[in-house]
Amino acid sequence: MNLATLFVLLIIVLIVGGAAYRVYRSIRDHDTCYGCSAKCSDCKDGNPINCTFEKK
Amino acid sequence: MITAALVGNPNCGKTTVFNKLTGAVQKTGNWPGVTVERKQGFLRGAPKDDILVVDLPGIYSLSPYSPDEVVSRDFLIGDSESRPDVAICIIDASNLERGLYLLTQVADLRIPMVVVLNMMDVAEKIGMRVKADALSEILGCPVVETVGTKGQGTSAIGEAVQSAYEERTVPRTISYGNAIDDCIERLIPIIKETVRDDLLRWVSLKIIEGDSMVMAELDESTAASARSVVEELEQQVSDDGMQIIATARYKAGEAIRDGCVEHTESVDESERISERIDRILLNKYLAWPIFALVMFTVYLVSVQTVGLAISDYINDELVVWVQDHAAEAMDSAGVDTVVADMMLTGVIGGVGAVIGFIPLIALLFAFLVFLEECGYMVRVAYMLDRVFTYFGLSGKAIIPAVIGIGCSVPAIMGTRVIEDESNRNVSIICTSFMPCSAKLPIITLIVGAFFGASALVITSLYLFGIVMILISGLFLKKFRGFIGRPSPFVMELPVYHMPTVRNVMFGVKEKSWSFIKNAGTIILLSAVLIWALSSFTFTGEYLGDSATTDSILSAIGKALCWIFVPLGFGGSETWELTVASFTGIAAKENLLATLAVLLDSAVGIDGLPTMEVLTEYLSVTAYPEAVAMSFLIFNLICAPCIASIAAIYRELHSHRKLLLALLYQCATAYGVAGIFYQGYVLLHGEVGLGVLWLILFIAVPVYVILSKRPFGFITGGKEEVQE
Amino acid sequence: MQLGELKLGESAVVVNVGGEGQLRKRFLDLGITKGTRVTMARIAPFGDPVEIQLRGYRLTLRKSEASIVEIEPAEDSE
Repeated sequence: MNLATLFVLLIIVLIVGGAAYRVYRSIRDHDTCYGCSAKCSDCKDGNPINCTFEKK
Repeated sequence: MITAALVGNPNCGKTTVFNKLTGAVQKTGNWPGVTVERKQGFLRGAPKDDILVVDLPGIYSLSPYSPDEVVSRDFLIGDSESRPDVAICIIDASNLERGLYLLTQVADLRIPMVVVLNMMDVAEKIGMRVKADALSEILGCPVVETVGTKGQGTSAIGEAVQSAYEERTVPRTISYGNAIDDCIERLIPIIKETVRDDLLRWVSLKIIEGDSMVMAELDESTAASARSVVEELEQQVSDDGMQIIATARYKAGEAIRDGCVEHTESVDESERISERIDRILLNKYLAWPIFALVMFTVYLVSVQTVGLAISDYINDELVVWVQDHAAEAMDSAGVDTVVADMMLTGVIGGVGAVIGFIPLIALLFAFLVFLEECGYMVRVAYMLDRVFTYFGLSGKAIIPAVIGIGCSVPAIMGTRVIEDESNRNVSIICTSFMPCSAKLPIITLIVGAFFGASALVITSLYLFGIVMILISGLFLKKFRGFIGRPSPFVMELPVYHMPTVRNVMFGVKEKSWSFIKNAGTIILLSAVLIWALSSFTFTGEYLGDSATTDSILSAIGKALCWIFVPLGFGGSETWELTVASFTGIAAKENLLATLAVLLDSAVGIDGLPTMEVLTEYLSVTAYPEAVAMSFLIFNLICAPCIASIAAIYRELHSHRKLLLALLYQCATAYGVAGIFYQGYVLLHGEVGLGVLWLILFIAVPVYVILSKRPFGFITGGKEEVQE
Repeated sequence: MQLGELKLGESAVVVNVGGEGQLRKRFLDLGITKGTRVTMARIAPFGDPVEIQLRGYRLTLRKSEASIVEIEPAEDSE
């Protein structure tokens, strides 16, 4: 396996790994629908009624 | 910390004001009940103490019926431990009487209050000048004038809340006439023991109204004594409690209005213009053709012509360019073939196939957001109501269906506007029948390959979605678990207005970004996985870029493909379609991406699955266009993507119901695609075993739909059948 | 007569709101109360739902729901 191959392989691993990580994060944060404004379901007490925005 | 509750009618600009106060970016919309949850945020630039602003759902009244109202009233009443410190009552100045009706109810709760007169500009234009100081004088609490959309006046709200809190400015007690006031005085001693002091007046009024939730809180003897006092009042006025109070509140509102409103020359014609537009768009004979024309135009531009042109350029030129150059570079650098292929076909090919559709989707969304923001979509709901109720569905079911054209997830959440639980469940299950934007790539490919990318065909796919929802209504309503009462469809048609470029851009950006993120994650992973599984045999041998036969994936595909025999793509020569149907569950864009990775090898042509590739691929089947369409129909209707499935689960709150929902979707998809394919085959003169499938697929739903008595089968459900 | 029977463009005054429960309360909450003046502003394709004008705004409702509202014609119908 030469250097070029290693390089390309590395790129692929980074990209795919990054993707896998992002998918993992989105599952963990219950954020399955990225850009959607209705996305957030990470609710305190599991009830959307307690949704709070961060103080800006 | 001060807790301030934001109350107001739907469409009074409450959410816009909330956004300005807290810096949040919440979606505003023309749909009734867009804010179905309670949201809270801290007021920016609060003068002294921290102010937590809680945006309650838009309501007309504090009745005990709809979830929106119950949520609001429970919050405002609070409990012995906590209660909002201040109520910010937002009134649409151009719709004063209705706003005041709600205001009198909040005033009766004896919470310090700040009144916000919003949409002062609109009122001004239609010739109504509301004098804020006069109103403040009458009510006995601060009044702030605002134009929410322009952000004028909102900064004064923080200070008003602070001083209302410090000085405890509870609004003056509003009189509802001698008869009612006397009745209240007689009721207070009766309920004094069981009711909190600050709620005595409000509860008394509720008792007169006959409010079920309030009455349920009282013990038997108190309730009985209270009832008899109320009955005396009813005798005296010869009317019933509910009507007495409502009429009295509106009378009080009229008196308040007379004390602070000046009528001037009407300057703006926007309401008249809205009127005139509606006369055409909602005209008895023109409304439907116009709607069909509008939708057709949307798809004509965003798909058939402009959108596709841009997409084709990206797919055929840009991505191929990248692939070619990458291939060259890796070749000259001596990169190992396997790794190079992984990059070219898996990563670049898989993702590239989908990326090209971004312009198309962005364009589509620009149209859809525009139509929704300007107010036209609400009229569509109005038009479709009759059709929907005829099929046993709530008229409001149209709202999720329209949202579903964009994405099923918010559409499924949007079913909350449907009040009746059974009707809502039907909607939750059926909403994903509408082709969402993720399905657009595969739709474009197939319709492009076999039907000339005809906008007519594409529009009819959306029509098909609605038809499926309606038929599902007929079907599911035969099961006892889904029989419900139709909810009242009472709605206000907002005035037409030109959506701001900013809002449209925001919606488009949101959706495009979501699409890109999806591409960079789930689709990327799926593509690489598919590539890997289709390029290696079980023994670890690498098959090279142009062959997928004997690969792990082909073995899996061929083992499972028989499932789809009645649908026309069950043959082992089209195993790729079977695999794609499964990967589609991760994300519907995968339908295209998977085919992109698999097909070029199958056909031996380099590059992306252009329409020629697909035509070539399917030419081995007897009826290529029927197979393609059957594949499309199946995947449009069967279980939606994981994100949507999660949303369905969240709304149904039950694993069992989720399973039933998915079962229904897949079975329906199977049946309908089967009917299509077998019907097509039959019409072409081929009579074989397929006819049996056709009979089965048609007979089952017809039997269920035509049966007179509901089935308790599977869904159980309520015993009583409501008329 | 009842609200559903009002002809396009005609006005009337509400005499009583019948019915019961949620629908009745909804109408009362929206301002359809005794003595309120209402005008039939539009009838949808298929004849249902309809749009009425009252208290400075417009409301859509189904004819079947409107039937619980008793009205009498206003003297000066346009």
